[in-house]
Amino acid sequence: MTSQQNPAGGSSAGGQAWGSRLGVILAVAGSAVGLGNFLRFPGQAAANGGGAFMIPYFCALLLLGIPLGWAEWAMGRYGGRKGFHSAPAIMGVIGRGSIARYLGVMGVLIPLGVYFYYVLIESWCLGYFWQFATGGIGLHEANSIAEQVQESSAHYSHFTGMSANGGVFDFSQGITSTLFVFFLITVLANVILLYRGLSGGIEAFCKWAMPAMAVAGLVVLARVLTLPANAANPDQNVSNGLAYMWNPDFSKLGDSRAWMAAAGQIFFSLSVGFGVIINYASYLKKKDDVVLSGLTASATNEFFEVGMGGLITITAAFVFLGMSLGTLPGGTFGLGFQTLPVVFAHMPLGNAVGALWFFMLFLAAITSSLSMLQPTLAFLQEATGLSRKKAVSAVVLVSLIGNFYVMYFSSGLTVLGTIDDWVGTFLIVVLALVQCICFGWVLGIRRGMEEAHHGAQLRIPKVFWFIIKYVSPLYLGWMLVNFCKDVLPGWIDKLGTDPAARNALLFIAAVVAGLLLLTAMGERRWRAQGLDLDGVKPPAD
Amino acid sequence: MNLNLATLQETVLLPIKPMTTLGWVFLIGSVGSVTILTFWCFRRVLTAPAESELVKPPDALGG
Repeated sequence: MTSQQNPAGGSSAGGQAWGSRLGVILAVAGSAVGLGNFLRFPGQAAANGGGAFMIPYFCALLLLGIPLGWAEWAMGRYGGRKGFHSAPAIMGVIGRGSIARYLGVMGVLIPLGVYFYYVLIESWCLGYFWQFATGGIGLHEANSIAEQVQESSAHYSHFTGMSANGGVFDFSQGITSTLFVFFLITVLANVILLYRGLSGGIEAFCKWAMPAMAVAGLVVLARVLTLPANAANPDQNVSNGLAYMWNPDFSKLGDSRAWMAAAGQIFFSLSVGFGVIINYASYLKKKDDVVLSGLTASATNEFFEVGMGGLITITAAFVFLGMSLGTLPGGTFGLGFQTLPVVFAHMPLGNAVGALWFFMLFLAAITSSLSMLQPTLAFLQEATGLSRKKAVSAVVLVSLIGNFYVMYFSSGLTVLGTIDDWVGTFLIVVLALVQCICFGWVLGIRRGMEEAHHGAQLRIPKVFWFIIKYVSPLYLGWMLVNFCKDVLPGWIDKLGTDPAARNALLFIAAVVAGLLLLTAMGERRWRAQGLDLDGVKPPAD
Repeated sequence: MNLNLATLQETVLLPIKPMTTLGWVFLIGSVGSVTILTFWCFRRVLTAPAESELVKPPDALGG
């Protein structure tokens, strides 16, 4: 790493560095690959034109996902060469001033806020894995599919505690009947890996978890694609299941909602505008490639999403549930935790396949959640000068407060949903727009591309200069306008009528206040240290 | 969850459409393109010159 003084004290990067190039790629890909790849994508595609959905999907990948990813990798490494590793500090350098620095607080708030609830969903995956590995979730074979879906929904409701606040502490049906024990195990795993550091923890884990996830996914895929046709209805077979998912409906392409859904899916799936890539890339050196690395991480995410998510989930569900699939619980949680358990109950070797499936989802989730605390950790160290040990303790304490808040107020999953809406959905688009403007317009597209090409093993085609400067910001602006027109009014109404949603937003507001305060402290500290926090000088190397 | 059994029974009676040629084109084109891109990228990464690898040893709990 550069020898420039680091605001966290000690050597640049605060003693942290990646061990290998493959390691950083797998860590970024692990951050991107999550539940959305396997559960959200197939539902979105099937509902928005099937195969035709891939047209807006690939447009969004080329116009938003890949170029914004490159920009974030380049900005992160540039900030790292100046000795910074947190989004506020790096955005201040790229955006040359306090406005960009304070807007960069979103790059800490988003991963931290999402971690508050994401680790709970991760615990659901671990819990379902355990339950399938030890005999299933208790569906009665003699019941009809509709009755089994109702049993599955009741199990899900009890397990997640969504039936009432504090539901996860109801152990009347056994200690493993709710997510609490699995939550403790999941948090412990996250903390241990975070505590072991960037290379010894996150990277080392992702280097085996990502291949393990691919193997588990391929085994489940092979099982699904070789399923025999449904004995009661031979038309419910694999080929027709693929047809349900992939037959194109071009009429949907005239609907702007399909284009919004495709852009949203690419966006949330690739984790651009999330604050993680910028932090991870800040630990790279000037001569380290970011272009091929960024493309490889994006491609890996797409392989899991289209190559596995696009073939497994809907196909398996169709063989056992047929056209009734359209009436069953959809969306990420409905499909994953209510409908699929019924599918596994009907499948030969269903418990084993179900266990493998939920283990794969758990790996997808933990490689993502690990990436969510690292940006906060780096920010806390930089802003306060705390040692890594103390900073880990502080971050764990703050994250536990958030986790317990979301876990206890579980009724209807309103708190979880509100934080996901405002932090995990809306702010991501806003931060991406800020990053896009800072990279393409404030730093300048020519300088930004020069920066991206240091050590590059692949040239970014020149058309992407135009895309990043003009097309991506316009695309993001169009997304935000549509969002404000179609979605935001409903969310605001909900804040007025639902105290749980209002309190969740107040909780997030308190976190924002804390992060802004820390940024002000950091600003004073960095200025006193003589660091180039407004990006007026070229990097020392 | 409110599961309407009547709706479910009506939906079960909907005709099942077989895979069309365009369906196969979109499936093979999409899955094939992301698979080829992923393997191409990893081949480039794994055959990159050794000096591109980071050399700093891992550090747990530095700081």
